[in-house]
Order: sequence, then structure tokens, then C-alpha cells
Amino acid sequence: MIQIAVYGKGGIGKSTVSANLSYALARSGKKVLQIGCDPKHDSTRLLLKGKAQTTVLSYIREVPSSERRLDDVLKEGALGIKCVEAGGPEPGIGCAGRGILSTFDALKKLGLEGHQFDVKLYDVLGDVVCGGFAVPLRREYADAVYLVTSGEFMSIYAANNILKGIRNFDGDACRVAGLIFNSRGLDGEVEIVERFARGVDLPIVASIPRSQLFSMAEREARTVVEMFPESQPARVIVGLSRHVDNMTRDPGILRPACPLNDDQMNQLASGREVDRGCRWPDKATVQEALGCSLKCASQDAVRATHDPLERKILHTCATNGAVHCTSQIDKAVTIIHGPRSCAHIMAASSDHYALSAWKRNGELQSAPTAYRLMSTNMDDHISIFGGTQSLEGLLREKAEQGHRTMFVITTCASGIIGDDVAAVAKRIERDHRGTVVKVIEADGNITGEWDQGYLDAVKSVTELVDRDVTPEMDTVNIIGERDFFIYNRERNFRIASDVLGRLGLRVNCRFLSGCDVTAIRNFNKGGLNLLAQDDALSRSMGEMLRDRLGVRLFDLPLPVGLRETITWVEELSRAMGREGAGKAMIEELSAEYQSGVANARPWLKGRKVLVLNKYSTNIDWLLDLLMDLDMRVLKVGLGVKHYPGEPRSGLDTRCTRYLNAITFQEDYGLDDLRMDIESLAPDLVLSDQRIPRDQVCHYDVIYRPDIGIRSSVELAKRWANIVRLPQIEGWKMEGKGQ
Amino acid sequence: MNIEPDGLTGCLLAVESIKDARAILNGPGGCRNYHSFLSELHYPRTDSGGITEFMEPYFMGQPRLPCTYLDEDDYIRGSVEKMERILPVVERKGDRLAVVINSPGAALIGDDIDGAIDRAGFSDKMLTLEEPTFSTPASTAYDSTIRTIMNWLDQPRTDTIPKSVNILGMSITNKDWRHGVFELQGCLERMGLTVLSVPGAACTVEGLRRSVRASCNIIVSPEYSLSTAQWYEEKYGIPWVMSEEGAPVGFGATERWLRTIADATGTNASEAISSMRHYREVAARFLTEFQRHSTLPKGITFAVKADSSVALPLTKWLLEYLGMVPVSVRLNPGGDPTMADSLRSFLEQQEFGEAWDKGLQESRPDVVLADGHTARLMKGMRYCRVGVDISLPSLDRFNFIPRTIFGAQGAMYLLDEIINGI
Repeated sequence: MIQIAVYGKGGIGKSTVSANLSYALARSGKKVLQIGCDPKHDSTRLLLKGKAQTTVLSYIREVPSSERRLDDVLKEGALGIKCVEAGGPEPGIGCAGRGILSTFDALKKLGLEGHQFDVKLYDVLGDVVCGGFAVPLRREYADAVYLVTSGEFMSIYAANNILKGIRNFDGDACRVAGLIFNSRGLDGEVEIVERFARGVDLPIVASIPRSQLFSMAEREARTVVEMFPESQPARVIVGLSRHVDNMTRDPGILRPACPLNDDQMNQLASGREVDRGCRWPDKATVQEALGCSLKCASQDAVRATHDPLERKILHTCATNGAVHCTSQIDKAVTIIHGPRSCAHIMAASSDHYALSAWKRNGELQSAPTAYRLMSTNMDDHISIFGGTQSLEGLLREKAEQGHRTMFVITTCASGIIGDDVAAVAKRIERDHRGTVVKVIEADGNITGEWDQGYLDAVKSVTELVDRDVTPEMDTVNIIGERDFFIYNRERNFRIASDVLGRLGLRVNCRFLSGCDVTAIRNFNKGGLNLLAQDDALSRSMGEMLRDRLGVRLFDLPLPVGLRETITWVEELSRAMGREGAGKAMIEELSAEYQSGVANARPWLKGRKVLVLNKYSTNIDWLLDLLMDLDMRVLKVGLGVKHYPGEPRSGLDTRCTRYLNAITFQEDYGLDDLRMDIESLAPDLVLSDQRIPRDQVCHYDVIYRPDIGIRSSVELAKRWANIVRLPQIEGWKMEGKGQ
Repeated sequence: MNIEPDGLTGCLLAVESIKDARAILNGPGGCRNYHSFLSELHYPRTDSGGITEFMEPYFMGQPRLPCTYLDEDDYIRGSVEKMERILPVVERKGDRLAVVINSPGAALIGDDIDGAIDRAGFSDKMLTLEEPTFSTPASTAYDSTIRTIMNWLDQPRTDTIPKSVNILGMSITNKDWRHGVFELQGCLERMGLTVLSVPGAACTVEGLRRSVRASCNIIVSPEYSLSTAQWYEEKYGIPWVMSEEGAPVGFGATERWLRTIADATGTNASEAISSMRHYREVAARFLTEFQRHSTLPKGITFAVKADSSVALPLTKWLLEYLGMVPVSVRLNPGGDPTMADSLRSFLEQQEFGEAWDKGLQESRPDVVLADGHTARLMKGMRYCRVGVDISLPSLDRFNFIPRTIFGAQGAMYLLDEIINGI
């Protein structure tokens, strides 16, 4: 048995050639199977006398897997030739390449492999050699590949592209049978094809003349070989069938794929002989030549072998960031246009954070994500035929249920197949007055990571804000509260609300945690916008809101510890004209802090502390507390590139007020910690990561504390207890002979 | 709520359920982190000291599910080069088997991964699951993955070991599956049966090979195993048995499960059943004590969200044994149609038909029995009084004591959660 693939540009006549070749092979006594791999599904028409054939893709779309039978898609044509059509989506929708993959998978499951054939012929569209259309090129399918071409440049270009595809699969392996020249009757056509053949070092195994006989036979839905067996075109096809026969006996006649590079294609197009000294480089050559001048290799060849590890590794995806952003908004629906796994991963991760926060703080920060999230549950069929229909159905259903604000976020899958989601959104808005559908084309990680998706979503949300609303000076907005890795969001909010209340201020909108669509519309009512956190994403959000909505930003994040709190209250009360209330509050907070610290000081005064801080950019709140407790800070170990934007040696007073009072060591690792514990014998180690289980010392892990002063007092109390506990818990000694 | 785990999770966890196998995710990092965490949490096998071994590309410090970290460039130009690089890195870990699974995006680009495995010379220990499983039920994908691996192992047919069985349809997605396996294995051993292998729950590759010598396959949950059981039957002539009443959840269904097995294997279930008597007596004593001061749990309402093979016996047991009232019964995708019909008919016969497929939130039950996240969040939001964690996703619970839902131990766990929770 031999399997051959006939590739060529759309409209070049490869289906006509394939059907005629199948007929000629069958007439010589071969048992033949022809599989059409072209969405227009007319490959086997001439073998089936024009009868419509059920395509595999429409079949698997309509018939449940338990009811499928091979006979429903495997039709018998002239001379007993078995015929299959893959089919495909409508032009401009879905992914035809994915369809080819699904067809081969379905045929395998239906048991096609159990049938015996002498020749399997795949008739494949070769305009686009994406992974799907390249499936027949795989070794398990095609033993040999024929390329159908005319003298038209685009046809030759397509043939050359297929050779590139084969080379990517096979390297120097021999699998190309040759060119089939299907003449269009153009001037100089023969010479061009011959020059191309010489350039790629392939034989022209058949030259099919232009002939009216083909259209006459096609009108009768039959092959030329059947209708005009003695004609010249039929004789050429029969000759081609002998070539197949010879190849079956002697695979040595197959050649490697040697595609032309861009320069060579230009030579061919300009009527010159191709310079064969300059070949398409193989992978090894490119690797070797990287760093040198590669005049002959095209950009693509170099790019294809560029070390993937040199590209930035994307650990997260923009879709997740966008979903996390919009799914926080109450009274809005977020729809993930993609497979259910995307929605599940995002919801389960989000719920996990909610549960972790509950465990740590005894309160739940948010309801199950599933209440705010929907998925179009894109499956294999949708990925082939396009998913806009199912998305539109879901949006209409939600609109009819009364939902007025919806966000649609795209994933890798919907991005790759190119669904026109924006057009769907417009139709829904047109048909359901008052409904707003915002589309965020995150496309999985194609547009970037989590932060990028979050910011794109924020941008989309700002379009909901009513620009006519004016600021009120007794209200503020809080910007950028988040769940991820922040387990104390709600507690922080209560603390902030309490402080703001004592200044005579109230919160207008929590952008975007715990807010609803109405609060977003009235966002501009907030007289000042307070950043919840001091990180790059929060700052980007703040700047985006300032630039897009023209709102006032307050530059300081919600404060931790006494000194930050004092500064924050002073600045805020000044900005809002409430200096008197601010001053009184500072006195109260300072007194409460001093009293709490004084209670813990007897246990901690003079104790030696070693601090390991790998992740936070600002720990002055911690150093303040240690100093206030009269503890001795031996050293602060920092991570790599600790202060973003600062050169290594540039650790200065902009980073910490304690630069000259405490020893800082950058690139501080666990080995350094181990040595310091041994040599410096600290009474307490404070670290923002777990230290090795076998380290015998009093230690505590420092998470991001609550804002305000009380978290510092609580920490002081905790350390006062920890230094009185055993240095290592008993369970950590399990298996160590104790 | 249409965001239950799908086939991607099912495939990945099915491979990860094999003790000496590893799933390789050909996809973006965003698909990896959750599943890697899930695998490690549900089936931990790396101690924290061993993490440094995984500080390298494709693992990035996480032991499970090495990943190609596909990006835009790979979607356009293909991922084969990354695949060629990841395979030797994974092979050095010394697993007996590695299975490449495509993310939904990767499934669309159709790279020739088998070719990459061939070229790397790892065809004897690596395979690819090319079939796109996205949005298919997780249980269906779990089943088909185990079946595909068994088919790929292509173990020759050898002599059958009398009175030996495999347990099928236990998965690492079950709540406290380790104790579940232990519990059911103990029951079968008391019937004189030897458990050769538990494909789908911590079986080794060698165990999978050995499994073809079993004289019978015992199904716990058909959603996770029926096609695998049929494959064993077709290829090796191994019959399978499952209880029409579903999985062994609650005392009654466990007894019926054991009797069905005894009938099919020609063994005697009386010792296994009588060993349950102790638990039944303890349960009855505690319930009597509890009802001295309360009329509960009789009359309190419950909601179940589970696989059909669990929902059927659980609903019946709560209603018939404890006198609780069903207000919402929803099945996870991929349910066994016969069991689903049976459950629906049961509810209708009991005149509680309105509970079928009713939303959890709107039904406001007293007790929710569902995946860990739903159960705990429902309780946290005060949508119910008790949230009983019976399946994945359950990311933050550690089972210091047995918390399986199967067998007599399982019945005690459920009673403990319900009675002490209300």
C-alpha cells in the first residue's frame, strides 16, 4: 500500500488531477481510497458522478459519536473507488485546518484503518500550510507528495511553500515524488515551471495539456480518463499512474524537499535562472550560522530556529487578568468566549484565593466566581465552524434575562480561529436597547500576561463611566484593591473606611472590588482617587483613570505602620481640607500604637533580628516597628534586583530610611541565611519566604500586613510569644531520630 | 454555572494519576499553573526538598506538568521546536511514561508531536493525546485517557489470575481517594478477592500492565471508567461489573455494590457486609443520642451537585436513611444516562421531582454536598448551614482523618459532617 498526497494551490486543478489519477489507478486494478482535504469538498465529485457527499465535518457535527458509522461518510464511486470528503467551515469562519485534524481523528475512530487499500490518495488544499493542512504530510499518512502547479507565479509560490512544509517535517528525507504541471496555456509557462523544477531539483512527472476535454468531462461529472480514455490528457494521467506504480516498487525515486528561498523566488519571478548554489538552509546550518551573516537564508528561516528560551516566558494569560477584573463587578456578566477549561481554571483559582482568605481572616471576601462568570464552552466543532453563533445565543439569553452590562473576553482558541466578536456585540446592542456589551480581545496570552489583560479590561470598564457626573469633595474612590495574593482586602477596606470616616469622608466607588455598575457610572463623583497598593499595576491603573477621565490621583498607597499612616493622614487631610480632623486622629493613632508596642517591648528589647526580604520593595514599616521595639537588626537580606529601577549599587535613601543604620545585603539566598544563623545567632528570623525546615531558630513568616497601625501592634504581640516558644516545632523533627 | 472542569483537566489528571508517569502540557503557562498545583495537591509526591531538581526550563520550579509555555509566535509558527527541546528535559526525570496533552489553543495548530517524539527516540515511553478534549466532560476524558494509555501499552494477553480484580472508576478527583481505595480494597479482600490494580488512582505503569491478568473489573464510577472496562472486555475478555445503584456511597448502596460483585465473581459478601455492621451500629447510636435534643436531621433540606454515580446513591441515602429533603439535585457533565434517569425517577416517585436540576443558590438548602469549593463558599456566603466537600475542586483541605465518601468509612464521614455541621 502506498499513500500519496496531491497538494496544490486552490483552483489549480488538483482535484481534477486527483480524481483522474484515482480512476487510472483503479482501472489498473488497484483498490483506491481518495480523501478530499479542501473545505469546498468537491474532490471526489467526478468519481461519484456528481452525487453529493456527506462531509466528515458536517457528519460529526450532526451525529452523536455513538451513532456514527464509517459507511455514512465513505462512499463508493466509479470502479469501486472509496471516496471521503473532509469538508470545512464557511469562508471567513472558524478554522479549516483544525477541521482536517478532526477529520483524520474521526476517520481513525470510525475504523478506516481496518480497510485495506492499495493506494490512499489525499487531495489537499495547499494555499495555507498551517498545522491542520499539513497533517497529510505527516509520515503516518503520506509516503509521497505530488505538487500540482501551473506556470502562474502564485501557483509556484504555493508549491514552494509546501516544499518548505515538507522540509520542516522531514529535513533531508526523500518524500517528494515530483511536479505535476497542469498547463493554463500561458506564454512561456513551460519554461517557468521547468526553471522552478530545476531550482528545486524535482522532476516534472506529468505535463497535462490544457484541453476542452476536461470541461466536457466535468459537465458530465466524470473523469477524462473515463470519458475520453484514448485522449492525450488521459494518456498523460495514465502515465502518472504508472509513476505511482513505479514509486511503490522503488521508493528510491523520491527526492528531498529543497524549497527556494526568497531571493531565489525573486530570481524566478524576474525570469532568471535560479542560483542553485544558494539553498534553503537546513536547521543545522541555520544554527551554525546564527551570529554570522546569513545572506541566503530568509528572515523566516532564521526566526524559525530562534531559541524559544530566549523569548519571554509567559506564566499567565491576559484573559485571566481581564476576567479577574470584570468578574468583580456586581450586576455585570462576564462571558469567557472559549473552552470551558479557561473558565474553570480562572474560577477555581479565584475561589481558592477566596477560601484562603477565609482561612486566614475568618471572612469570605467574595462569592463563588461561578455566579458572575459564564462560558461559551467552545468545543471542537465550534473551533472548526466558528463560535460566534453560540456566543450570540448566550448573549441574547442573558439580555433577555435582563442583564444590561456584559463583558465578553476572548481566549487563545477564539483568538486563533478569529471569531468576529465585536460584530456580535454590536448586534446585541442594536437589538436590545440599553444593553452594553464590552468586548475585551485578550486572546489568551496572545496579547500578553495577566497585568495586560487586567489593564485592557480596566480601559473597557472606564467606558461605562458617566462623564457628566461632577466630583464631590466629601467622597473618595479606592483604586486597585485585588484578591490575588492579598488575603486581607476586606479588612483593609474596613480599616480605610474607618479612617476616612473619622476625616469626614466616605467611599464613592471601590474600583473594581465590591462595586457595581452604578458605582462605576458615578465614578467621577469621587473627589479624590486613592491607590490601594503601591505596585506597577495599581500605578498603571491610576494613570489610566487620570488620563482617560481627568480625575485627581492621590499619590500615596494605603499605609502600613505608624509612620506611613501619619504621613498618609496628613497628606490626605490637607488634600481634602480636613487638617484639624487629621491632626486629632494622628494623636489618637500614635497613642494606641505606642501603648501596644510598649506591652511587647519587655519580651523583645535587645533581641537580635535577621530579616530576609525577597519580594517587597518597601519594608520600612517593618524596620520602624523593630526599632520601636528596641530590637537589634543584624542584617536585611534582599532578593535580586530588589529595588526596581535602581542600579545594584544605587541602594540609597530613596529606597529606605535605614540605609546608613542597618546592613543590607543584596542577592541574599538561603545559603547566606544558613551561614548567618550559624555565625550571628539571631534571636528571631523574619522572612517573607519559608526557611528550610531543618533550620533551628525562632522565626516568623511576614505576609503583607493589614493597613494602619494595628497590624504592627499585633505582629509585636506575636513575636513576643514566638520568642518564648521552642525554636523548632516537634513535627519538624519527625524522621530525624527524635 | 457552566464552568465545571472539562476534558483538559480530566486528561491531565488521568495521566498524573499514574504513579510513575508525567503529563506534559503543550500549551500556555496560564493553563499550567492551576493544574500543576491541583495535581500536586491531590496526589502529592514531591517533598519540598526535591523542588530544586525542577528549577529548570519547562518545569520552572513546579514538579508537575512541565509545559512548553506556548506564546503567540508558537501559534503562528508551530510549537514543534519547543516540543523537541522539552522532551529530553522531561525524559531525564526517569518516568516510565510521559504523555503530551495539547491545550485547546495548541490543539488548533496541529503540530506533529508524534514526529517529535519519534525523532527524539522516545516512542517507547512517550505518547501524545491528540484528540481535542476541550469542553467535553472531565470524567469522559479521564476514562478515555486511561483507555488510550492501556491501548498504547499493548500488553500481550496472558493467563488470568483467579479471584483477582481491578478497581476501575476511582479517580484522584474523588474526595480523599487514597482512603477510598483503601476502604474498597479492604471490602473486596474480605470477599476473597485480590485487587491487582487500580487504574486511575495511583497505579504504576507496571500495575497497568499487570491489570490485564485480572479475572474481573469492578467499577466504582462508570463515568470515569466504562469505556476502559469495555476495552478490557473486548481486548482481553475481562468481564466488568457495576452496581445499578451507582457507587458505594452510604450504607445501603455499599451493601448492594458488594452483593453485585459477589454475584458476578462467585464470592461471598457476608463477611464484608457484616464488618460494616459496627459502623451502622455506631451511626445509629450517635443519631439516637443526637435526636434526644433535636428532631434533626429529619426534615432538613439538602442539595447535591455530583457525578451521577455518586448523586444517585447519595440522594437516596440522605432521603431514606436520614429523612432529609432534596431541594436541588444537579449532575456534573458526563453523567451515566441510566443512573441519571434512575435518579430523576426516584425523585419523582418520592414527589420531590422539582429538585431535579434546580440551581443551588435559588434552592437555599440547609446542607450542600458538592465539590469542595462550592460547598465551602456556599457555607461562607451563608447560603447554607453545612457545606460537605465530596469532590474536586477542593484545593485547600488536608485529610488528616479519612474523608472518603465511599464505603462504611464514607458514610461515617458524611454523617460526621452533616450532624456536627447543623
